[in-house]
Amino acid sequence: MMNLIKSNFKKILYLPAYRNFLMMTVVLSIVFGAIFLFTINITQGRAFTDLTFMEMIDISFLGIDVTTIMLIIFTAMFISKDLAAGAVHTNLAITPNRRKYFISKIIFLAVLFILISITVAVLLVITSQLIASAIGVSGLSAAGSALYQIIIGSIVMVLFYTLLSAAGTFYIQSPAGGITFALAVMFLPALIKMFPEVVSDPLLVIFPENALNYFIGVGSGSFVLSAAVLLAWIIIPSVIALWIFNRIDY
Amino acid sequence: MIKLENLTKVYGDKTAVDGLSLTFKPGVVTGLLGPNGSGKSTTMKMIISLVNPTAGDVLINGNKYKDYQEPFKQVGTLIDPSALDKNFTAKQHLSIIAEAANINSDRVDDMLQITGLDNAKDNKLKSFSLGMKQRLGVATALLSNPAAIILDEPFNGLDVDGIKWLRKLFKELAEEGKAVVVSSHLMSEIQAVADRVVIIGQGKLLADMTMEEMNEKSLSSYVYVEADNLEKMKKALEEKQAVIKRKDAGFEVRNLEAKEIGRLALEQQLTLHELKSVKPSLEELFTEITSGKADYVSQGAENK
Repeated sequence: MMNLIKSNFKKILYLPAYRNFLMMTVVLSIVFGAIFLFTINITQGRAFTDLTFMEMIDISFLGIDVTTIMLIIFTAMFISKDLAAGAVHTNLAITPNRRKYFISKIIFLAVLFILISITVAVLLVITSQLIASAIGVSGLSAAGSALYQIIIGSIVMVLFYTLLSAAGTFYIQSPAGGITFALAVMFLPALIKMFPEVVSDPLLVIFPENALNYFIGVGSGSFVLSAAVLLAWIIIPSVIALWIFNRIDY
Repeated sequence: MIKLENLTKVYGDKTAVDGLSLTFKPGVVTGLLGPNGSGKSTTMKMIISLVNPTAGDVLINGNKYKDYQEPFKQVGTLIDPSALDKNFTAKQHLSIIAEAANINSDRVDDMLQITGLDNAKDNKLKSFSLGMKQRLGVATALLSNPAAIILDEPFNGLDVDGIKWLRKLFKELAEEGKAVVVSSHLMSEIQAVADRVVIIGQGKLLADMTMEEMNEKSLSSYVYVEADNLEKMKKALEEKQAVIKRKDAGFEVRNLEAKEIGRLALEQQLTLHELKSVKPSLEELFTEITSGKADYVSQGAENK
């Protein structure tokens, strides 16, 4: 298993396209975080200088949404390239145990994305701190545990949607399938909210948005229920994807 | 040793491989022949678990390929020479495979040298010709120094030097005690390298024998004889239950060997003008065995 994970790291190391994509993910996340912050008077009608440090963090951490979407795309591309006609013959000849192959990909991507989301989160905090210092707002020292919660919640969100993208890609065997599946789960709650509460409220309980909000620290609920919802969303599609993957003839 | 036991693969209402039972032995180069759609590639893919059999089993030294902890060290394969990410260099491609299969990285340089790709090792694969990709495919198959090697159409795209190199390589691998399985539509190449020939048609085993056995058993092999008195010769041959067919200035004779015909002519005091054994090419044998078995035969080919 370790060899498979290391060989995936080698792929990233060797291919500039992968490296550039991941670097762009980090840069764009920071840039968009800063843009969200500097345009707050247009989007929310509030003066930039009226914000507290934690409000600045909340706004700049919207940059994590960019990270999530970019990594959903990366996951789908990375997996589907290995499953493309031809390449899959070599990959599965080396690892014919498809469960092992599937799990090694998931572990590799999870480790990579934890590292990237920590990097983005730290850079967003630094950016917010620099801006706060520039306008004379109390910074990190005033943040407290809420800051840690938003960082952990952001990492959970990145992992959650990228693992959905991985399951979708294995299931549908195409990058479009993986991306569509993850984005559908991400954006469906927004559509559901357009319906009356009597319809939307029970539906939203089973979607992961509330659970993710709980981990970020902006939603209500319990740890057990939130974790259970997220795990169910990850495990059920992954088991189905693995079952399909095992049955495919290449 | 690779053992196929009643191996069957059904896709919808089409049976691609139909109850195939075979053994690929160490130290032997086996040529796998069959018309397009005969089930050769599906069989090869079932050996390395790329395709799940509908029934039957493939055992490699007693175990299934996917049950091995390091399966790539049991069987090296070349199924598709384009089975690579063209953005890597040759060396990077082999390094990634070596890492994934837990193979010593020194083997990468060895394989590049053996396959003659040393000078192109840092070139991107997108710049590789089909012949170079075939060489890289062979390098990949041999990377783990496996006990068995399976190559699907390895001669495609190779130049004369490449073909000579591959022939020599197969012989050497067999001498090292490896089981070598090669499929090809270039029957002259199989004839040049194989010790044993397996012919598949419509997923079924049509022939499995050594090249010598095949030549002997074929209807295409006969003895051509010309004598000063053909009527007398014909009568003498018929008395020996030979099957005779008139050809040019003599006869095609089956069921009697040349030396028996020579002895018969001596007994009958006939003067022979010509006496020769005609052995068929593998292509003729192949046509004979698979006659009417091809799924896709062009009208022109069928009429010829």
